Amino acid sequence: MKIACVDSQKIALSTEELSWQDWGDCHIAFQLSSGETHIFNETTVNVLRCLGKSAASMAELLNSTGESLGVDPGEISPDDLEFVVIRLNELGLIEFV
Amino acid sequence: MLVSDLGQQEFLNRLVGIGLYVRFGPFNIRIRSDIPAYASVAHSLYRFYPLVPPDSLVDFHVEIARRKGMRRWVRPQVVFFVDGRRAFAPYAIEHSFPALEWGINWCIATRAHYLLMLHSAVVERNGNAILFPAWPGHGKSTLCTALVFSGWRLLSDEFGLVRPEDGMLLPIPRLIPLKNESIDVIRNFRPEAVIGPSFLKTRKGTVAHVIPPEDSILRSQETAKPRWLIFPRWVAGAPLSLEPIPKSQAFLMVATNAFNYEVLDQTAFRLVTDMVKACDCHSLVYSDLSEAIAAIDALTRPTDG
Repeated sequence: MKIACVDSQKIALSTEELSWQDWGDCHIAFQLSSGETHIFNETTVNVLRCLGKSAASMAELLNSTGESLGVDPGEISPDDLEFVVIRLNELGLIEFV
Repeated sequence: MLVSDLGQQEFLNRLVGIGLYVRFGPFNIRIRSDIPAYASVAHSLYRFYPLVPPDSLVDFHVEIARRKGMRRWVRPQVVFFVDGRRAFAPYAIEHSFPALEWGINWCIATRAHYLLMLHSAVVERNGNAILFPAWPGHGKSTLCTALVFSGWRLLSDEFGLVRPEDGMLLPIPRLIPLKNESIDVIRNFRPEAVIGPSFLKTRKGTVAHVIPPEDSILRSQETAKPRWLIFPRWVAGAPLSLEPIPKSQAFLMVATNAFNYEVLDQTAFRLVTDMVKACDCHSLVYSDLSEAIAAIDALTRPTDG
C-alpha cells in the first residue's frame, strides 16, 4: 500500500508517549495509549528521533537516516523508508501535517 | 496448623461442611468437596500446607462436586465451581483431584492481576532465583522437580509471581503435576520424592502430583530476587547446551509468555525490563537431568570476591 501524501507532506511525531528500552541489538518501546510493545530497528528509531526534533519531509528523513547510519542517502531505498513511515503512521506514532 | 494436623474424618467433615481454608503461597483458598476419593488424596498430598482460620479473607472459593441427575449414577462426573459459579465442562469423577488443581491454577492465572504472572518455574538458592519460562512440553516441571530435590527451594513450577512494588518473586509452592513419561523419570531420578497416585487418561494424559519438599512449603512467605533467566527445552537424545542469549530476545520471550502482560500495561513493561536487566539470560537444551543440574549449578555457583 502506498500513501500519496507521503511524498508531498511533512511528517511529524504524534503526541503518543513511548517508554523506551535500548537492548543494544534492538530497541523496544511501550506505547502507553495502546498498551502495545513494539520492536524497532536502528532505521526506525532514527526516523522517530529525527521527527522528535522537528517535522520533516521524506527527503529530509532520507538524509537524516543516511547520516545516522553513516551511508550515502542514495544507498537507502526510498521504498524501505516509506514502508517504515507507513507502519509508524498505522501505529499512530506519527502524523502527516 | 497444617493439614496433617487434621484427622482424615475431620478433613472430610470440613470439605463437605464449612470448607477447608488452606494457604498456597500468597493466596488463601477455601475448598469444598463431597467426593470421598478426592478427600483421601488431598488429605495425603496437602499434608504440609498451612491452614488459615475460617474468618480469614479468602481469595478464591472453589469446589469440586458430583454432578446431579442421572450422571450421579451412570459414569459419574464432577463439576468445578469458583465463587459458586460453574466453570469448565464436567470431568470424570476419577479425575476430581487434578481437576481441582487445574481449577485453582486457572483462578490464579485469570484473577491475580495485582501481580505480574509469568508462565515459568522458579527455584531459589541463597536468596537468588532462577526463572525457567517455557511453553508446555518443554520439560519445565520435570527440570524444576529435579532441582528442588537437589538443593534448590521451590517457588513454583508454574507461576513466576512478580510483585510490582519491588520486582521480587513470591513463592507459590503448589504440588508439581508431572505428566506421562516425566513421572517415571522423576521416580528413577529421585526415588525419595513423594508422588501421588497416577490419574490415567485425563485431558493432559497421565498426571501424578509431587509433594514439594516440606522446607519449600514452610518458607512460602520468603520472597526471592530474580537473578537468572533460563529458557529450557527438553529434546530426546540432545547433547547439553547452556548458552547465553541476547537480553532483547529474553525480554521478548518473557513478555510473550506472561499470563497478564497486556493487563498490566506499562507496569509489566517496566517489570520485565528490570528483571531482564538484573538477570543473566541463557537457553538450555537438555536430555539428561543430571547433566542439566550440574551445568545449572556451575552457572549459578557464587564466584569469589
